[in-house]
Amino acid sequence: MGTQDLSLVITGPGGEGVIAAGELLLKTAAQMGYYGLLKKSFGAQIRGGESSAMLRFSTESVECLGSVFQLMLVMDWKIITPFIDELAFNKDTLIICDQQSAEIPEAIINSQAQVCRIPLTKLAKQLKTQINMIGVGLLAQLLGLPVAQLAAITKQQFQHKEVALIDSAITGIETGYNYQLPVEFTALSNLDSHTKNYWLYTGNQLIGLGALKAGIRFVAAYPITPATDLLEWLAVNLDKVGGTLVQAEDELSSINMIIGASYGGVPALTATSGPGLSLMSEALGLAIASEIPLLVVNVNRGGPSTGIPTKSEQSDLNQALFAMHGDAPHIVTAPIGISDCAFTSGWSVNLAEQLQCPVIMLSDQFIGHSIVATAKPPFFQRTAERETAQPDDNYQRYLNTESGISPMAIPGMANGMYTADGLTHNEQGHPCTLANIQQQQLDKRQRKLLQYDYGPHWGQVDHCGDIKIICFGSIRSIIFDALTPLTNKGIDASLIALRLLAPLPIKQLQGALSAATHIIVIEQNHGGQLFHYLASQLFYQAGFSAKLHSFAKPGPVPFSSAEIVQFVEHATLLNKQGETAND
Amino acid sequence: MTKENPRFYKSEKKPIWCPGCGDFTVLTSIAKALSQLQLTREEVAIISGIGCSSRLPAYTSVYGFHGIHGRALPIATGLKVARPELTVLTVSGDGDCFSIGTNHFIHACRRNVDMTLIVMDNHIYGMTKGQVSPTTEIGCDDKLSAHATDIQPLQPLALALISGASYIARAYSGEPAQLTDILVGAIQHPGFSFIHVLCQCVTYCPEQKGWKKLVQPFAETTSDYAKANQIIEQDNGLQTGVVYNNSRTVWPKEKTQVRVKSVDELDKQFIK
Repeated sequence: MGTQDLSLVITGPGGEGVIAAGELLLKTAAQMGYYGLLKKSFGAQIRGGESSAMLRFSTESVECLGSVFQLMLVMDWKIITPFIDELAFNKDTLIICDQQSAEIPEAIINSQAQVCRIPLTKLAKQLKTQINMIGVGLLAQLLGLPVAQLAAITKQQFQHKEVALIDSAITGIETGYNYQLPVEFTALSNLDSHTKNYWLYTGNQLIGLGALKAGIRFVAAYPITPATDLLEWLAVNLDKVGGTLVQAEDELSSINMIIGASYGGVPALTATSGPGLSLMSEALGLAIASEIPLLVVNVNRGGPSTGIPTKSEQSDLNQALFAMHGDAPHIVTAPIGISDCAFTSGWSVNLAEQLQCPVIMLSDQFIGHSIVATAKPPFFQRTAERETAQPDDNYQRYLNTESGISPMAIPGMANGMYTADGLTHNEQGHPCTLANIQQQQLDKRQRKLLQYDYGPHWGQVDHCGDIKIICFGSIRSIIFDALTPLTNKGIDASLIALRLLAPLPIKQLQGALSAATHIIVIEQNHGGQLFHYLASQLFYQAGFSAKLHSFAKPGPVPFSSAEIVQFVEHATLLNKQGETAND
Repeated sequence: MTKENPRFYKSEKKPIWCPGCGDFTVLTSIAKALSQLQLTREEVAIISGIGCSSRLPAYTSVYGFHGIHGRALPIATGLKVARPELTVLTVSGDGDCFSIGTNHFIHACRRNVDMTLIVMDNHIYGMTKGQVSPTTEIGCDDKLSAHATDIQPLQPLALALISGASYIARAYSGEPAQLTDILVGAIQHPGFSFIHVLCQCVTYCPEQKGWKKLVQPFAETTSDYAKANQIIEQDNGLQTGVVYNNSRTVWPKEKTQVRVKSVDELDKQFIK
């Protein structure tokens, strides 16, 4: 019997093929029947920065890393030592490192982790191969992955490279695989070989796929990490379905371009990250006032300002909710995890089109860049439909309907000619400064969002218990991993992940939070943005007697389920002892 | 087909412009040009930003979008690329296009999407009551300074030329017939066309009434870049007519085609 859930990390200088090595292991394990995750972590440099491929293999679907790495492959200590505290290791961790590398950091020595020094550089030079490929072979040996399949996958992954390079990669893998390691390690269990196909994707790719399935046919883009590869995926795939991508001169332009396309009746999106979203906020106000459907995907990175572009955070919540000037009701959504990305992007496109307003979908770098090997993901099974007008001579673009949704004329439709306007306008669309018109149109734009039935998609609730944990985005899977250890400690916690952040699903949350003794809001930002949002919208209301706790921590290091267990245990234990939790 | 007269392309709304404003002429000339070309109203969209001139779309009876300051060209670009069969015009002012929106102006010239830009240049911020604009002449009163402006004005035609515009013209609001002709040519021109209109502001720059006596036609229309460069270099800012008319590859090159039977075909790349 072997291991059924294992996390490992490969680290080295950027440009040395750390991520490629991780992908090979992920694909090989997936072929063996394992679910897997590859989290990419790298510095902002193109070459030479710290680079890590963090992997987890499990017999269950996984979207986060385990609390501790059982295996580490270190190509060069010099690169990784400054970041050593950001990696989770202990005395049970087996570390393989290059003999020629710099000194082993003190933290590793103190942890009593087992370190195995291998002449990686020397071997690579002798055999004219690459260190990362020898590393892949070594890891495959320890994990018990079949070398023949690994070699086949390598050939496939490198099929566009030179033959000599592929040959040397195979040499490296075989060298590592056959190397006599003086250590013991429990390999992955042999699974009943299941030949079923598996899906391999990143969150960014899946957001694009879900959006195209929902009907997006125009994209305007300005490159920004970590949203760029989402835009690159769309560029290629949008073309296949007859859509167009325009690379704009800046984010001010990209958001306005999609406003233009959507005004023309073509469902449109742009993707960006924090600073780009800031540049778009004025135009988002225009889209709200002129009632133009559109989707902005924000792949959150560390902020503020340029911040940590290559690493994850959940700190753009405040700006997604509140950045707009004036009273500006709009929708904010978030995927429940990596495999939920297509569902949420498809749902978001539908909401935008049906409600004729902008939707900001909050993803993050962890979701966007991580690769998962898993089953077919869920999709939102509907192509978006906008309520278009059948205009006659008395057509009114901003008709004050009961639902708040006014049938929209599209250029090309006879009798529908109107001027969309960011100025306060009456039902005809004519600029107007009358108080009753301002009130009427603000009411209408708010009403259409509040009256809409969002159905069961507002969020996901897992487990029962009177301790309620609330979160959104990538950290859900980490918190989910903490639920079983908590149950084992006698703490029954229920996990609520919000897919709809604005308008806040107050009634559904009140239902989910009834009988709560503790409410713990966990989020990856410094200020506790979700906690304060929920406090202002929900917790202030009468009937909330639960103890409130905020666990907020900025990036770039992901939460670990172990620290969540510790936090929840501490917060709820204090109360049992009659003390006041003061978090 | 019955001939639609210019009035057909105007709405019933009364413009907010001051009596004598050059923008009235531009509105009438646009209506005349659309009438001459006998364009179907619902197939035309006029996009604008913010400023006196940007109020124009609502005074027409075609589709319009009155957007935000400086961003008319991106909205127009998105619309035209998504709906290439439409005729798309952008109307803007010197503040909207040459100050807050300059970046978009440069890239619209470079990109060469098949649409027309009309900039109504009165050398002043009218709507905010008379601050200097990027095209204000040195020596004019500057409301945001204790002194007269001493900054060199921007040269819109030169900027358009080096940025790649393929149809460059100047008109004057006191010569509506010429403006109509230039507009017809610009709309018919494949690619990005730019019309710089000297558009008098009678309220803040009454001296612009004197333009009538000062405007002169360009010596010629050329398709030669070097020649156009030479003419524009010697331009005093008061010459009118089409100065540059060249054919250049329009972007995007062709209408995109659906190349998959179903969008679900995209799934294949993820299934291993």
